[in-house]
Amino acid sequence: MIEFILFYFAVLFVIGIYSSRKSKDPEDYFLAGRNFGPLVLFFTLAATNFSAFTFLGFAGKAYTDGLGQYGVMALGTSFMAIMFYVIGRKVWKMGKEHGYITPGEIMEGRHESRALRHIFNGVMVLFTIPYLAIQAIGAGFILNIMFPQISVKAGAILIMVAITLYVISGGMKAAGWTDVFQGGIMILAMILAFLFIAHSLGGVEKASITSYETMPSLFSRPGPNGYFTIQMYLSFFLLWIFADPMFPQIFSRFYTAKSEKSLKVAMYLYPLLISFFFLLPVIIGIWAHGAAVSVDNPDSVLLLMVKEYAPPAIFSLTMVGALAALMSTADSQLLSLSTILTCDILGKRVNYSRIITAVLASFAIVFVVLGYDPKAGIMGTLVKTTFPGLVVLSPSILATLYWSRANKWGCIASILSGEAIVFLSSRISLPTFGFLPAMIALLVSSVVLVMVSILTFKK
Amino acid sequence: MNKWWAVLAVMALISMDFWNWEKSEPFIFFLPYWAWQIFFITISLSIIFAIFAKQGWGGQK
Repeated sequence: MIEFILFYFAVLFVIGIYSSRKSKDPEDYFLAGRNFGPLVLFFTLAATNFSAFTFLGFAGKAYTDGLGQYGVMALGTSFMAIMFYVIGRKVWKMGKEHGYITPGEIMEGRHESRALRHIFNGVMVLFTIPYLAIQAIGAGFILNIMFPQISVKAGAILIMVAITLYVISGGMKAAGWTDVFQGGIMILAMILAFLFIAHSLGGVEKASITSYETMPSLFSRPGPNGYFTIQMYLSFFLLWIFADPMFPQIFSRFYTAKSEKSLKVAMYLYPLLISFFFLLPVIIGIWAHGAAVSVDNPDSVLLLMVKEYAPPAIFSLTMVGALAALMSTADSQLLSLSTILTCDILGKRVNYSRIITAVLASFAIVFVVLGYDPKAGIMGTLVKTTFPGLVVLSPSILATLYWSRANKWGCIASILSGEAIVFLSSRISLPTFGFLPAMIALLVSSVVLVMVSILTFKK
Repeated sequence: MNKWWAVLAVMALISMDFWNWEKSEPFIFFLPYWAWQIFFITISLSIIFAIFAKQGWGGQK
């Protein structure tokens, strides 16, 4: 086990050091010189987006709420790939033409408003920190299962320190190339875990039928607890399409494409990977019922299943795969957030960005130590915080890219009104008609954008 | 360009398979029918996006 981990970390640090030698200027550090080819861009987009949530959270949610989890995740995320064209292509072009590095610079460039840029970037930073902390928590769980003498919180801190070290050494090049390595491990580990568990349970068919006989409602929607209602299904479908491109770690990758070909290839390979990669953790989570595995925390069900039903070497590989999934997201989040803060406040200086990276990692650790509620689960925490906070940004960026009447007042009002709904829905029970509160926030921010832009439009 | 949006709209409608709610049968291999439908929709999207990347990507000014 320890050999796997040491090898994994050694490769990450070698990539980090190699990347630091290849970085010559701020654009190299922040955006890998805008030079990611098709496969690197595809892997970095996938590894960045597929996180602890994908590896551990999907299995946990499927364990409690059934196979509907595959539908709510796979469909919306696959459709989301069209945003590589709708948003990514334009962002890439504008970035190349104007030298933009942060997402908010596009807003400032079009609307000539520094305030709008700061609001846009500020929202991205604020709502990504809980997501970053989730990765750390996931790492804590994994290390705790591997080495019970390391507590969840101590494990979380250790991993955040390791991520910080290779991010500050190599910047976006390190994040991108480690994503290729981590993405490969993640996919391999998940496939092998699935195959070995299926084999141990008497084959895929027997494993599913045993679970079906134990709890038939796992295999239909709305699931055992009635979670996957039609409204929820539609809510998540829209949420992924509009929220995913607003993750700063995804948005900033649009700038890094070498050419439009990189974006094209990433767009059509993305749903292909999702088709099976999202199914595997979900089905393992469901099989846990038939296998009668005792689960205290649903988010640990995948690891418990692998520990119980796969050889020790596969268990070790799966652990490293899970670490790879969350670290590949966390490193990109750290880098994109520090890039935003550095470029917005201090200018495009690499050394300042390194300091801010360390400060942000400390914030994530504080969130882990003080603020995380393990009862909410990974999905519960993100649905309440990051996803609704970020989805509110999508109307203003789409209008900025495509609607000539959109203006700074419309965009600012849209973002602030949407965030007000997000805040209110976290405090009081708003009427949502069975939809996620994030959908109400998205609707309000869209309507406000159109109304205010029209009312304040000047020829 | 509009034809591509129409294709996506049809795919989105098929994705929202409300008629399959509360159904877990027929079971095909190790999954219910509706889960295979999701699997093949995502594969189809990949193919549609590949064709779009070749034929439709540059079509918008």
